[in-house]
Amino acid sequence: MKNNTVLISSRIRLARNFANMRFIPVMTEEEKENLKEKIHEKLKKNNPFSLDYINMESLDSVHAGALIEEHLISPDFNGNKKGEALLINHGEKISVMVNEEDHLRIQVLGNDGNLEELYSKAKALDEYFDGMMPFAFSEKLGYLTCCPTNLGTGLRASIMVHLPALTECGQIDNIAASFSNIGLTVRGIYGEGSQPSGCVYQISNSVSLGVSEKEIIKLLEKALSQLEASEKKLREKLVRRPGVEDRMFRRYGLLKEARMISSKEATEYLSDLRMGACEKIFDIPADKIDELSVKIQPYNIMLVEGEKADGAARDRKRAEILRNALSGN
Amino acid sequence: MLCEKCKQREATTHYVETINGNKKEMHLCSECAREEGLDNIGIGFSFPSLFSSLFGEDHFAPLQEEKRCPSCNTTLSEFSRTGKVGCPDCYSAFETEFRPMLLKMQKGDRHKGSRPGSEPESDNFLDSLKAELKEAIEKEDFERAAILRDKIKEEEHKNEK
Repeated sequence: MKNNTVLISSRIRLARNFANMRFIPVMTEEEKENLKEKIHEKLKKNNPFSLDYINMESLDSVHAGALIEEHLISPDFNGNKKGEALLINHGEKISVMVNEEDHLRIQVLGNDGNLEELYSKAKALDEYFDGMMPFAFSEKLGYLTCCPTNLGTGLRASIMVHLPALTECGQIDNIAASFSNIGLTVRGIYGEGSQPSGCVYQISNSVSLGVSEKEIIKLLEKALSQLEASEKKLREKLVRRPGVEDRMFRRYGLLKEARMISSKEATEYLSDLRMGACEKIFDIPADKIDELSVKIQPYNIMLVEGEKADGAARDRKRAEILRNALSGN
Repeated sequence: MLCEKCKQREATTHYVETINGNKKEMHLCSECAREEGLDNIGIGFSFPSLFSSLFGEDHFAPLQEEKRCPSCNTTLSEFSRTGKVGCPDCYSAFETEFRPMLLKMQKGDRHKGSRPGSEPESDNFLDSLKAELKEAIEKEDFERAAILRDKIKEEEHKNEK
């Protein structure tokens, strides 16, 4: 059953390298191109997951940017570097980055907290690629990755969570500190190095070696239920504060009526809207708000409005999208 | 400051060595430094970085030539700068140096998860110990094999309970 009061989405990522090959940091452009081509050829012969092959260098920046906003590829993987390819099934939210930091980054996104199921999906992909060419694996260190932080399981399990009450009550630093003691990192919305925005955080395991996949998943599931409990308790109190209630309704009004709105403003207001929706103050499903949060991002707007759309045009379109989505509410 | 050794030329090479908590300092001119074999250290170990600080003090030993991975030529100082290794063999080449770092940033330096081609539910830890034992015997590393054999006995005894 889906409980999305706090959870926006979940993600399983496996880092893999093929055996008998050098790692990305020392590979030449030619080596990378050869690997890409090899994978492409094998994909053409057997493609059980219906993955599309995309040569990142030839992908335009708007589409690349939109994929980043959807969390299907990492921010650095925008086609500016040579030798990168993407295998993607957009509908299934499966994306495999080729030649990012490792030969393969297998990623599946989910919209509920069932990380075990998501992991099974990722494991199936893992087995498929292992069937293509064997992976670099040692009995002692597990799956070999170019960064020791990914050794062992090569697994990074993450949950993207919305914590407006905990943020407003200044609890995030405490949470980050206590989570860090149990092997969890708290990061901004686009992962490593990014800033939190709209009270959305990414929680992932920091340890990948010396723990099993099951243990990692259990840890994330435990973190999620703890966060759900603390956030819910605080929200109930917070939304009843007169100042907060007024702010939420004013912002709701703005979202419904504004003719121009920046993504920064919209993100902030949608955070209040989502909190209000989960507290049954506004009659909007939380996952509709989550979809909107992606649709109003700059590159996603450019997908609709065109690459030439300037800031003002995007702000107008953004406001229009929000008005249309919230009309009749 | 004058060279400690010849007491004639200006000291331009300042060498500080800390091994197992014992600190030794030498201030030498370039000729005496060369004679002592200390002129080739280069910039190998003089940068602050997350990884170099995790190596542990007993690895800041003076080296005349930087250790390289035999397969891809990556050096430890390159790793300290980028946080990345160049190939699978780097992990065996720098096994000793990486150990304290792995113990600190991961949960030990032994894989406990699934393996290629196996069911995720199987007793991986025991399987991997047995596979490593086989590997050690093949490599004729009998000391390691003995340690593994004891670990296997311990795990099997635990499982029987």
